[in-house]
Amino acid sequence: MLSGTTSLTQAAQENIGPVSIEDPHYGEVLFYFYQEDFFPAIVRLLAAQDQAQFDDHAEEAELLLGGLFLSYGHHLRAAEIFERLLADNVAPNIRDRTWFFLAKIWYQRGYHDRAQEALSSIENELPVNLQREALMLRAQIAIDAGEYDRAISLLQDWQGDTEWASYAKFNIGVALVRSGRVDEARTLLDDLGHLNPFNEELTSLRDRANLALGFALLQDGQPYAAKAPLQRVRLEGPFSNKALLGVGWADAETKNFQRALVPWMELRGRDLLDSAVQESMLAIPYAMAKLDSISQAADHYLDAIEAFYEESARIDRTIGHINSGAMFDDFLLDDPLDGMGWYWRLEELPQGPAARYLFHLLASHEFQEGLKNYRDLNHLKRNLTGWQENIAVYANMIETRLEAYASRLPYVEDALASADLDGMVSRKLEFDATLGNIEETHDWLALATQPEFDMWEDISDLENTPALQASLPEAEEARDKIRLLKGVLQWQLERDFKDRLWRVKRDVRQAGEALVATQRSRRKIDETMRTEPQRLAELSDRVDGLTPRIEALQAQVAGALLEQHAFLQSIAVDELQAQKQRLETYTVQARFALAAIYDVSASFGDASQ
Amino acid sequence: MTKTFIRVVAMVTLAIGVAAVAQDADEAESRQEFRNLDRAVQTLKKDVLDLNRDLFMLEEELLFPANSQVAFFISMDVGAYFELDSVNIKIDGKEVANYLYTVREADALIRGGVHRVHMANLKTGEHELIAIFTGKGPHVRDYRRGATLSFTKGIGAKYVELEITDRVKKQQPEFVIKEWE
Amino acid sequence: MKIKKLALGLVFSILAATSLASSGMEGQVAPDFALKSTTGENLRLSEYRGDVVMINFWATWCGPCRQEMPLLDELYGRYHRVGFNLLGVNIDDDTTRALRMVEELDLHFPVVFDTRKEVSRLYNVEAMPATILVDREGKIRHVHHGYKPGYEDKYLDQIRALLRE
Repeated sequence: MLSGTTSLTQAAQENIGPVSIEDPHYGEVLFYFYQEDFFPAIVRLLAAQDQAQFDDHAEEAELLLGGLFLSYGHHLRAAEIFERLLADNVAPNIRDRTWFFLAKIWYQRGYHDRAQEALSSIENELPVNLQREALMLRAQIAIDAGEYDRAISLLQDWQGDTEWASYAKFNIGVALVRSGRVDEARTLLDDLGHLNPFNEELTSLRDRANLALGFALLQDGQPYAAKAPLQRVRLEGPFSNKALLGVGWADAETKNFQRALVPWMELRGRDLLDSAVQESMLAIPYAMAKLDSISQAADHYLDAIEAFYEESARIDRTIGHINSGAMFDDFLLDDPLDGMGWYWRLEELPQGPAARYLFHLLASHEFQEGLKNYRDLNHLKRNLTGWQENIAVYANMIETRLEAYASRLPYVEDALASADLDGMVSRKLEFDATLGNIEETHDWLALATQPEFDMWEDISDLENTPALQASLPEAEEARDKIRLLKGVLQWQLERDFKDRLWRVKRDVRQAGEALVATQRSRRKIDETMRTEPQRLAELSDRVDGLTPRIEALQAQVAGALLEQHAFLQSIAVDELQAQKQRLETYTVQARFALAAIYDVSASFGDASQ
Repeated sequence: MTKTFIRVVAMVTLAIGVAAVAQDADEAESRQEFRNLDRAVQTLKKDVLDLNRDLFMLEEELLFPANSQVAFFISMDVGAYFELDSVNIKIDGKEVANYLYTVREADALIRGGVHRVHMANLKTGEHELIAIFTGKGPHVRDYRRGATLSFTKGIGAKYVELEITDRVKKQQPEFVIKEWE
Repeated sequence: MKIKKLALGLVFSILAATSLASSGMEGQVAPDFALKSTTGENLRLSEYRGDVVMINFWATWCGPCRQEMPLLDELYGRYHRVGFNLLGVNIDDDTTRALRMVEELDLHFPVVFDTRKEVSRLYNVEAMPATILVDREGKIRHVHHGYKPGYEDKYLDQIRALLRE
């Protein structure tokens, strides 16, 4: 069944439908998904689910995960998820989408009837693009079951996108041909054959339609009708060879052997890899024989046998190249994308002699799948190697942290011990009390500066000298003077008291605030001192736990790579063997024909003698 | 040194004029007493001198007058309640200070504080001071008193203390002025 | 030592005697003064050290003063308890008129009389009203001349900032 890769991509992207991103984690997952980077998308999604980060989108997330697994090629997990979703009570649109994906999976695994059931369970909540795909799936199941009419009726109802409609038409046409309803097929395929395409895909489709129509008509014994569509096939397109062959046969059927030679001669000069070309090498002498150019025919047959022989030898060499294991790594050397997944196709072939055979190989689904797997496995291998390196770095980081912690710890402990914050706090509180007292008692002397205080002491001492008490006029004068001096000092101290009190209180308050902050810091340090070694130990354990897992996975991946490689090799070799086989068959035919000619000429020769 | 010498001379003089022993005994006793007293007085005087020297140094730090300056101080010594409101000082007819005392300041004065209300640069010679203070007494709301002083400004610095006191007349405080050099 | 201290004394007295240009006053120590208040008590600026002080010069013949003062009274009421002081300095010659206005406007903050205009000269008051904000250390921080509606918002911000110091 033809679907076209782009539509599958679209469908995958629309698996999600429009979503308002409320969870940033969900958005991140989608970010990778929309770039078709499924692997990191899956990883993030799994991590987020592990940490229960999807509050609003849990089911959507599950659906996304299922779709991602499907896109990634992990059918089994995808199926598990979808079946689980159906078991829960989910919203109708999620339910329908789940059924759809399950149908896809089952179809791909060959359980057509279960796929059919799943499709029937869909109500009408699918987004538009998925609806189309579901319809195509239904039609294909019908075709596979031989229910062509049903397929036709399913697809004919479709009123939709031009491209999809064209594909649908094509599939119907093919189905009709297979069920022998060539005339009905003819109408559809003819329509398609006159299509005005707006892209390469549709151009290709048009070619295929014309080709299919042409050969159908040929098989149906309508060679005249067959020519027209066949001639509509592009001369430079991928179906040109077959078309040329077909055109030749159309002429041959109408006994226009001379005319038949034209396309066939054109074909003959082309790449011998193509079976059409190989056939032409036999068709030409056949036509020539019919035209009585016996000796030319014989020459051509000889040439053909020669060519086939050489080609066979080339194939042998290629098989040898494949068996040596070198070929597939060439494929992946130029791989620009580091992405993985279902929709990757090998766009350009690497250089080398083996490349010509690969073009043919690539057409085979099995090979494509196998190559994808191989590519994905290589990606996994790189991924694991990267993680192995990272793990080593992490282990190193943790070790360094532990060392740093151990070396710094004694300093911190010393610092904390010598700080005596508690002592400072109690001193501060004492100071508060003292200040309060000073304020209450208006003790202006307490706030005197040292020089002022010394002066006060000096004056007081002088006051107390016994000499002062003498009743001498000098003593009285001295007494008076002392009183004056003391009074002046007292006035100053009283005047400055309020200002000084405020300043000291402010300083004490600021000291208190600083102490509080320091205490807070100390508590934090204490806590870290307690928890840090434990935390580091836990991290270390986790890192240690991961290493064997990585190694185990690496071993598995290595094994899988070998297997996959062997598988690809065997497919390739099988394919090449098949080609060899075909060449052999053609060679045999050529020999027979040649022998027949010789017999005729011999008998002719005998007869003429 | 001179004093010792005088004492020795006195003793010698006395010793020369020796008369009756009994008379001497009495005299001797009073002489001894005098000597003791004298010694005490001398010591005292020395101490007071030392004191003055220390005071002088304090003055330098606390009062730092320049030679041309006269410092005026206000102090209080009142027994009964009196709330000082303001002090006004005129020197040679010109008002040089008009200080309003807040409640706190007035309290400080009562507690023994002394306020240097003004410092004047005066030429040597005669000057006249008129000082008036106002306040609230227990009975009289608007109490006013003044004092006048004619003083001479010498070469060195001078202090004038204007003490508000009711020592002389109870409940009627007035200025008592003291001068210092 | 003697001479140095004398020199200092001279400098201070010079400073006290000269009036400073109001606008350039920000950052300098607010010149000290004492004036008699409406209650008969004398009030001295330096005794408010440790608090934030707003000095507001006004007169009865000044219209904007009349607008401004009730707002200042509000500020006083709100922030007095947390260390804000407001000193209204009236420069009328006739104190009875001033007293009457204080009663009329029902002002609660202390008002003192500068009849001799010494203090307003000290602060170089040129326009009325003049509002000066002094911080807890006795330094002038803001000077406002005149009053327009909306000034009180600025006062509020400035007062709050100074109270936080």
